[in-house]
Amino acid sequence: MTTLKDAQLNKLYKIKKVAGGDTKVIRRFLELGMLSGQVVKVINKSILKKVYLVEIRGYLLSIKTSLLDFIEVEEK
Amino acid sequence: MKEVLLVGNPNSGKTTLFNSLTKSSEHVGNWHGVTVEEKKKMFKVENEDYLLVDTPGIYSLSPLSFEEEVSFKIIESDNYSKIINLCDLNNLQRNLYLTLCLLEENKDVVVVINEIDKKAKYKVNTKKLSNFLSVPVFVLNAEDKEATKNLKQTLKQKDLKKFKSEYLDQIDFSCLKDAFKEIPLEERKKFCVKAFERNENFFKLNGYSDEKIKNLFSVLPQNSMELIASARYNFLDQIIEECCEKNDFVYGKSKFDKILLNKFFAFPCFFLILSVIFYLTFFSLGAFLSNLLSSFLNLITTPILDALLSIDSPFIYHLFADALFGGVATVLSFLPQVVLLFFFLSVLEDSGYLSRVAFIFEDILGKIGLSGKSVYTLLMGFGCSTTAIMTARNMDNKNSKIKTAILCPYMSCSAKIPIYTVIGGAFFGASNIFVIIGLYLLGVVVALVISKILDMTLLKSENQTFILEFPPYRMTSFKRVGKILWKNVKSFLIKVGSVMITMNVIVFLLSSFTFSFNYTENGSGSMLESIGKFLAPIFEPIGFNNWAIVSALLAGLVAKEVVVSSIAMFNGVDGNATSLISSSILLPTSVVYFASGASILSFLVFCLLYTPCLASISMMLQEIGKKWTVIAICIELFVAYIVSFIVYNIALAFEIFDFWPVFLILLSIVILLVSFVFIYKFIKRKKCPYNCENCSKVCKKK
Repeated sequence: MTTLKDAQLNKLYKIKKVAGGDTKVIRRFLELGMLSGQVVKVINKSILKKVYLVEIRGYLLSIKTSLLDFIEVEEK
Repeated sequence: MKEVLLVGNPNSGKTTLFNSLTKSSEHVGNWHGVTVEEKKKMFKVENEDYLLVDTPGIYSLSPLSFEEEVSFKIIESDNYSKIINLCDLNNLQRNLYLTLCLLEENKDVVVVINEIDKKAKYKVNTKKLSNFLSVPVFVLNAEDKEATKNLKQTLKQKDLKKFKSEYLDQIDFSCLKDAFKEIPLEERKKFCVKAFERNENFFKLNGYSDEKIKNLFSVLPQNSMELIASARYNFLDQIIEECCEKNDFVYGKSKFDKILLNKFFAFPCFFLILSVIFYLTFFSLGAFLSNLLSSFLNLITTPILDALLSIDSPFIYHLFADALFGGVATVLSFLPQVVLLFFFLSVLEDSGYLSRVAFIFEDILGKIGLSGKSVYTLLMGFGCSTTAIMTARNMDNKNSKIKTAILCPYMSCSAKIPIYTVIGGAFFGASNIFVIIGLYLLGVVVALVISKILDMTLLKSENQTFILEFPPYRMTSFKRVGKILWKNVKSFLIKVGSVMITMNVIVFLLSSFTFSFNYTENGSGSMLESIGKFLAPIFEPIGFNNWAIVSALLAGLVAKEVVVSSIAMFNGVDGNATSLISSSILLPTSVVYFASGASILSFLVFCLLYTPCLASISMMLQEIGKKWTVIAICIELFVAYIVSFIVYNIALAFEIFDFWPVFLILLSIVILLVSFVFIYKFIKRKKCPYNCENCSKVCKKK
């Protein structure tokens, strides 16, 4: 299973499933448009890789890596 | 009177619109969660009064952090007649998600699309969009007062509530058919949607017990939340397709980030920016303007003081010369520096850089139980702790919020600038620059250490989420520069004029009268001297057993500006004279007398770390409760005493002995301590319980 946490920089991924974590966090991801089928791209990682900068629906979100485990993706 | 709510995504410009509709100047910035509480103000539409309520930004009606909960409660209260839903044109699709949430609940909504940048990501056909949503739609720049005129007119119209959330009908709600039997038919769909969203806050607000909510949620399909979200987004895709033209760029992406978020340059750039700000504030520009103001104030106060000398009453003379003019004028002369610091912090806030700072600091701050988002609160703490403490609401779990609020006062606030400059400058002269930098750094280091200790003991960090949007970089407009400056000048003058003058008069009276109400000069036998003398021995180990210094610190509990003005008063420095105060504290005959550089350093450190002003304490009470405020104050006093003690003794050792032996001893102590920590960690390290043959080192087993 690949999650967004394993994503390589500047490579396009397609979201397969958003599930598994705290309800509030999953709901927030969904509200922000992280739905299955959506294309995402990691465009930056912090020095210790604790946060990724993710491009989705034409805008940028910085997300803690531990939360990215809940976003299952596949290579596009 | 009709209440109108201003609702929208974070950083969509709600407060800017609030300011232009009500002609006020509430704090705005390019960051998520500048507004953390509701703000109300009246405005008129053709003789009819409206009350506009600004709310913290939200993404939907399911709150995640504390400030979002504030908005959620206001929206669900239904005590208003209309909602102005502000959307950011650059991120229209996601902003309209909230609009759908509001419309589904049959709220009376006007959609206002904020065109912040000239080149926006979307171009929208308002007429078509208005048809889709069945509500009025405006595109305007929130800063533009003219454009808001039409909007005001619409507030008078009653909405016909024609919006039908048909896109939700394809969802199968049959699993809930028994759950909401007692709910009226027209409300039932809303309850079903809320249940599918697993919106605990909503059901709690409607009197459901925890257990009932759990039972309710147990019958839902696993992907219930996704069903709702994708139904809305599908509808939004359709809207965007038909009403908008899309520009092909990523909102918030910038070439500056290549450097500012670079592995090697990110931190140097951050420190460079901070250094430039502090250099301009304290030394070049700030110092120049302060000197200018100082000589101007001298021009005014000197003739008044001369006139006062002719009055034959020492009480009157000292009341005016010392309490009302002396100290106040000195602190007043720091106005340029304080205002400059606030100004630079505002520009930093406007720039959008702070989201990047949060990004690069999450790595480190995560380790000590904070979040990258705390950076905003802590940076604002350099300006004023009181307002900064409130922004801790940005956090989404309680422990992080309390921790951030407790750490805030360790960021040296602007009120302490006069103390460092006047008292530090007395002994260290030109090299005071290093002392001031050292003090700021010391405050940060102490805060980080306390955070780590709290994280291990009282306030274990829960899983702090960190989902933060990246806004684009923006320049502060010229119009705003003037506003920021004027606002800060005003608030500084008001503070000096009210709190400081009152406190000065109180300190003057207490130090001029004995317990039997006889007038006394130089404080001998006065009430304050008795109190100060009682407390002073406590301060002997940290280098200042002097009743007047202790009294100044006591007065400083109310506001830190009073420390310097009290010292000026005790030493009888008339008029505005930073240099006179500085030289007086080194004279053994003065009331306030520092025997050595070590005791001055210790005093500065104590001022940096001890209890913040009354306003901050009352803000803490409001935000984190009585228990944690008391704990915070205890920690502050304890830490201030211990650190001052260490600093005093080290400085004293340097003064008494040669430099090198002391330095080498200190260095060996530090090396010993560090190696102890490493040895302890090495012994305590956990072995991996899995014995995989090929260790990938990026272990996914939990």
